Amino acid sequence: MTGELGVEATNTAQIADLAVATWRKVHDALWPIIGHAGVAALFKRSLYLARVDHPALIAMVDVEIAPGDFALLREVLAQQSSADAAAAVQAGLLKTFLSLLTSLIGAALTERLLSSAIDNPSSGEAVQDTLL
Amino acid sequence: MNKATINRLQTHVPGLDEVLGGGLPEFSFNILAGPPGSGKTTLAHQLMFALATPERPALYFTVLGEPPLKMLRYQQQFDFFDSEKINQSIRFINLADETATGDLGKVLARIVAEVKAHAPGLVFVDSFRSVILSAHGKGNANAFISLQQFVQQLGMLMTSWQATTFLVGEYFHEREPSPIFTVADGLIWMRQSAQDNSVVRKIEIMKMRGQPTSPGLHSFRITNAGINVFAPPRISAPDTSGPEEPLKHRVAMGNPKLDEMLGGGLPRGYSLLIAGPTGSGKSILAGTFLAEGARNGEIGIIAAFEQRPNRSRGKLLADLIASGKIGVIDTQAATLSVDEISRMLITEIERRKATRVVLDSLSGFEVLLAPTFRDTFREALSRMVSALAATGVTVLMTSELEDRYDELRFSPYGNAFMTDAIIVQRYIELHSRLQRMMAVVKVRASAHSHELRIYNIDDSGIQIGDMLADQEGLLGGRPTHRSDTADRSNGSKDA
Repeated sequence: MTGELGVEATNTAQIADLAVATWRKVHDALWPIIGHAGVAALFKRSLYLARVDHPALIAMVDVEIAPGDFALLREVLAQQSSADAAAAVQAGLLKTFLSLLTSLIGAALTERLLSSAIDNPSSGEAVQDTLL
Repeated sequence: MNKATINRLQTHVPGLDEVLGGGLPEFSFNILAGPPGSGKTTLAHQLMFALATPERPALYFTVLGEPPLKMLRYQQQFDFFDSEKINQSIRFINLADETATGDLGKVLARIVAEVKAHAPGLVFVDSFRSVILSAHGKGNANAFISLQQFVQQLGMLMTSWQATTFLVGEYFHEREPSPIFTVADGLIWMRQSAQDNSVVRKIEIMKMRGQPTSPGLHSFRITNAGINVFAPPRISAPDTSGPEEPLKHRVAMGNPKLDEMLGGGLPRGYSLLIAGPTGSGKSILAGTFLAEGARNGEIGIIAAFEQRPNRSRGKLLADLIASGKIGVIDTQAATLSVDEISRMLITEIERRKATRVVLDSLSGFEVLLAPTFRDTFREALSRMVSALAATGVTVLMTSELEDRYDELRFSPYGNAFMTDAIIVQRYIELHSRLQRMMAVVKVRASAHSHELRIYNIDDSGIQIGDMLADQEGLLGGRPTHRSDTADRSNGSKDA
């Protein structure tokens, strides 16, 4: 992930693309197990929780989003004032999602299910590090 | 001439392999049915985690019903749940999208695709009723037929893919003939019945092709370790030790006078029933029996069915329990069944190589029993006594018996016939004092005393005195002097 980001992710559009790629992997890792609707519900709940720290996400909270559709997220991230700001929103949202999933099915299983999608899923901090 | 070999998978669910008649036939097509909350999903997971290996991977299809996230959340609380196996030898696959279309063909196609992709040795579909409902829900006129086709195709497919399959069904009417049941090789029914304040879980193997299952309902319990089925204790094989064998080896009761009354101690491996009214010293005799065993280096087990668990058992017994010479069976569960206690006892006897067992008392046992089991207490008790006898232990049971002076009874359970020896205790009025007396009623195949002996209870236990040779009518509770020839009819009746 860090390698993918490297020095290339210098603008908000690149951050947005990388973030969407991560969410696709997360979605693909989870939907066979909990269903498209199940992943979408977790994503919606994460938006709702993360909006407090990241007001940029408020725009997404009341919008109908089809499962696995991250176009609106890309838009929101690309509109951030800087690459750092976009990365912070993405990191916050992913961290919220992971801690939500962890609270439901535990760290061991979360790690197990998402190990192919993201590095070190049980640690929100590390995720943030890789995205910054 | 060579028959197909049916490999039986050991489920490692305690008691289940016994009930199944030796394990689960490989490549069988099974239904786990029962109402919501009866433990089907738990059993399915327990089976899966026990049986799934990299060589025999499992696919667990979740249909509507229980949301997979919740299922994972709750199932991982069980000890058998091993996160390491997920996405390795165990794969969960959600079929909600296919099921939502109401088209069973799509559901089947997805199952086929996943089975082809992963070549599982075990397939679970949970829960099956959702599939049926959604087929009906879409107003599909051919729902019933297509359901039957669906199940038949699924059954055929799974067998040819060499997958042992389980359809977990939320609920099926057991009396309603269902095409699914015909296709299935195995039908495992789970229930929970509530009566008064107790809930009892029961499992029944209604069908299991090609093997002798254990018939009837078997109680089970769900703990953190998962499901534990209390298979009925194996009934003892005909006694091969020969009738003289036990008589050669006598077990000391810890009371020389009582040993003398029994004809030299209780024959080893016998079951003894001590029946008497409250306060007659039954528990004291039981304690002495265990203490005597401990003195001789034997291990004892006590299942005390007391309504007050903290009631002191006496210092001697308490010390022996603390030092591990006497094992205690926890009998505080509110939904006790006789088979469960049997299993606990036999496990403990085998584990500790115990030789003496005390059940104190059968009356307390009956009270602690879940109401649904009370009707069959006598039969179950008889099974338990046989199973205990098969382990070779010497058993002492006590039974509370109200004094009835117009009849001579030994047990309110009619279980006197199944015990090898009986001691009866009574209160009598003698010289304006309440006195206790006891007699040995029966010691199978052995000579024993027929005397009615008076006894006292003091700090060191039961002190057996002499026969009241000059009294008669003792069993009537109000003995008379022998010189007084005015006979009491109820006294002489029993003598």
